[in-house]
Amino acid sequence: MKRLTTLTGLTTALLLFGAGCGGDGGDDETEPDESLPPPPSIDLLADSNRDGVVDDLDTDELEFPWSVAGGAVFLPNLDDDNLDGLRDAETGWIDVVPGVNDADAFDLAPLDVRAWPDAPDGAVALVQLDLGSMPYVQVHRFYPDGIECGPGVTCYWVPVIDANAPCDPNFEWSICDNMIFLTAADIKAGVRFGVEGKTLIGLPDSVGWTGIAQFDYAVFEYNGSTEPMADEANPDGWDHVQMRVSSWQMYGNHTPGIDVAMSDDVSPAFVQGIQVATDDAGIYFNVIQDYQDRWVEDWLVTGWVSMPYPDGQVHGMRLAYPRPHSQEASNRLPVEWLQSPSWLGVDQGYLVTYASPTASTYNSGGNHDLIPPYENTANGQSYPVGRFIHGSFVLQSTQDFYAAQSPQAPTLIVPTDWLIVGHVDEALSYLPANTERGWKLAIGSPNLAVSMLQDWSTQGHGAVEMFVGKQFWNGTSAATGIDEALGEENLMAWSQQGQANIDVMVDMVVAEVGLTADELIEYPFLFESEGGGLVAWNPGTVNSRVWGQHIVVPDPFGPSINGVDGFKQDLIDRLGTPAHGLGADGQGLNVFFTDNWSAYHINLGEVHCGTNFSGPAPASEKWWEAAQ
Amino acid sequence: MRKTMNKLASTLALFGGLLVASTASADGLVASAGELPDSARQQLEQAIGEHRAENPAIYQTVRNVRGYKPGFYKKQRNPIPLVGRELRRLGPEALLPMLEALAFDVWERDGATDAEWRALKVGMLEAVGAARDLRSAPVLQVAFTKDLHPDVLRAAAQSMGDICDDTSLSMLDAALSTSKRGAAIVGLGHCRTAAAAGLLTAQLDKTKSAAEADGIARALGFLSSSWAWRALGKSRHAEGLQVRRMASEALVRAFVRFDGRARTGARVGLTMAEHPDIRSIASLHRGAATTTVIKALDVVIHKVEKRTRN
Repeated sequence: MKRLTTLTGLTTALLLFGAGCGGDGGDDETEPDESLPPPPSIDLLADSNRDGVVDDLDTDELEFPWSVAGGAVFLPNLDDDNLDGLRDAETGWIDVVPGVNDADAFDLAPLDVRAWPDAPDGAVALVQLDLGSMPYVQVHRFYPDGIECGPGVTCYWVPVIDANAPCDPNFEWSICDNMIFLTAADIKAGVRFGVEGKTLIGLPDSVGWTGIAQFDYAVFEYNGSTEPMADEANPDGWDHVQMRVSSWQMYGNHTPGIDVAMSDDVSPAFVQGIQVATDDAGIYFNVIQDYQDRWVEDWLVTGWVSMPYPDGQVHGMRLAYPRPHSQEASNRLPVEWLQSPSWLGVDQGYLVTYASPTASTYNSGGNHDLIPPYENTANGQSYPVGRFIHGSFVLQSTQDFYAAQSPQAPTLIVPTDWLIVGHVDEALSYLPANTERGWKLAIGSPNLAVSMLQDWSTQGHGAVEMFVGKQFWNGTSAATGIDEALGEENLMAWSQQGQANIDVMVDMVVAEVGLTADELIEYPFLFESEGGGLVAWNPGTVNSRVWGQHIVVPDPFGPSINGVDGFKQDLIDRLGTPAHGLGADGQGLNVFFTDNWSAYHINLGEVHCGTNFSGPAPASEKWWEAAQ
Repeated sequence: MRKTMNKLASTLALFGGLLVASTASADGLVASAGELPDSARQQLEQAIGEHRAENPAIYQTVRNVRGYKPGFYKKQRNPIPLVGRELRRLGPEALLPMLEALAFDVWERDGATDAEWRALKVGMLEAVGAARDLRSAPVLQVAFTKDLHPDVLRAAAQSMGDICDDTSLSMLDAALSTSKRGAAIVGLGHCRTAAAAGLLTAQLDKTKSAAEADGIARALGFLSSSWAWRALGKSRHAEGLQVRRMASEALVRAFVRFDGRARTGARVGLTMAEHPDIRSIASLHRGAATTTVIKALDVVIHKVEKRTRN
């Protein structure tokens, strides 16, 4: 849960905004810190020290310019807290019903005009937002006692800057320019604003925006004065605060707190296999029944945005983006499912990375992944929240989006066009491990598969068949003997081709991350050709779903060697024992298998392709500490 | 009684099969019977007729191929029509039904789009090659001569390479100087002979195009795949070593001469050829490579040496 459950209602929101605005805050003032110099008279404050509250610790040095060392953060308000079917940033007013649903107020980042009780009685003040941010940022003013904003309607948050609002000078709430004017009473009492983003940076609808919103504040002694009043902290009379819209961060295998797994309901056997693992992990399993596309990894990519929250926590929301095309039986674009109540809701929203729908396998989510956090002192790289990785030919607008999402950017691009599906998850995955790095790289390994098959053949098991009882679309038995496979020259050549291409990918990751040989975990399977590209011949087991200590692997249906599935046993030994130090305690992962032969394998995919996961913004991953 | 009935059924089926084939004014997928050389056509007609009598069910099975039908391929992860894998898994028993569909008489399109129908062609051509039956060569050669679509050309060439009879090899060689060059390179990569290796190494040494070098290098890697040669058995071990050496020599030269993707292609090829003498081959053929290139080549050599089995 994203909110403290002990605090409810509007009061919670007030408390979180801290003591900076004494006039509005009522009883929530903190004791003055006598070690600090007296506060300036002309002071605009945000949570620049990122401790979740606005107070005297948010010093001028931290508030401008925005950097990894300091600067407040605001959220793109793209969830739907009042469940009206629209993302909250798409509505001008804050979607809050006091005492009933105040979630949207939590999504506002505080920006406070410090109370200046001794301000001149005739003073006026100005808060302005930089023009470049106007189309992308909304600002609301907080009225602690509420204000009538319509017949019989009391509002506590009132929009004061919204580029989309009507520009009518006769309209009381004409808010379409970038300036907010304050009266002497406002200045004396202090004012609280809430800032929200309408979008993120790097998207087709935000081209050119840096994501930094700058607010300037000045007090004028009287209405009509052209010279702002100065004080010691602001000799030119202007106080500046920079805030940055949250980067979007992708969920990866290593992201803590994954609490939802998803799949399609296409295959009871498959679903049941996943269910056993999710039950064991105690996470919610959402079997999607209202969107007909079994490739759940492919049609949405999940991630999160966040901003600081008190006590070292974060407040954020889950944001997914959809693939730019539909397939299978669905006649709806994936974005339409994301816009439905099946996804859109409290602290859960979406963004769109494409300007118009376009179809390419490379834009599917399976071709996009996250290398877990790493630091490589040899090349000076540090990715504390992980790093984007994707395969060939990803839509340029998606690449542009990733490029803007520091600190998971810049993306590592590896070649995947040798695969007929062309997805990076067909060859690589990431496993938690009890090592300094905390994870190891999982790789498809035809080399290991051939080696195992040869060993079994040498031991006299050459006639033993794999895939017993499994069929292809046309009902043909898939059963294939070990020697039969080893003797098929093209199968061997395709597999070796797969190995050579995986080697290229792995070497790129190894060079970037600084992985050592014992940080590579091989998964045995072969490749064959289809339509001029390669695809896993036997279930491509590296294409597994991993979260926490759990892994769900495609059942390999390998040869029965002395009564045991040779491939399956190898994976259990490799992943589920202390042999490779996997899992947080190094004792191995909780390994589960599911039958994905008919629903996925023969349709050119496996477990990872047919599942997805999401979770809340993790408190341990403070992207702003590393964002550029 | 049952035996008599079976025999009668077989005779009828044989007659029916021949009738279909010989009166097939309808075209096959890639050719019409009249486009095949007479001897090849007659041989195939007879073989198909006899085979149909023995195993009529397989003809229906082939006809029921599903991978080009929207109801099936749209479930795939990459939803494009594909049938190669599906047909290949039917095994050699499906060869003659596929040749019949390719060259004599194919079923109705039943609303299949051009892309779906082409996918059937491509997959069937690929699957025919996988059976490595010389009787397929004339059909593949007609497809390679007639069709202009790059996917069809590639599939036909690939399967000609799989069969690699003298005519196919000559045709692929001749096509190197035509617009079908790209397909011919792929096809030669499937022909595991010294002759094909010689043609590809010459092309690799000659080309100035990095993109083309990448393709040739990968084809050479496929041709010289140590795993494939091992699958061919001990009787061809010496030939395999020779071919792998030829390929490795040219691939080292390409590795030095190109950078970027072409060098990656050469690397892929070298790690597939996996020649046990890679280090000496590299030192003989790397020429005046820079220190940086030698270092990069050393990484590949190390990888090959680590994996060398033969």
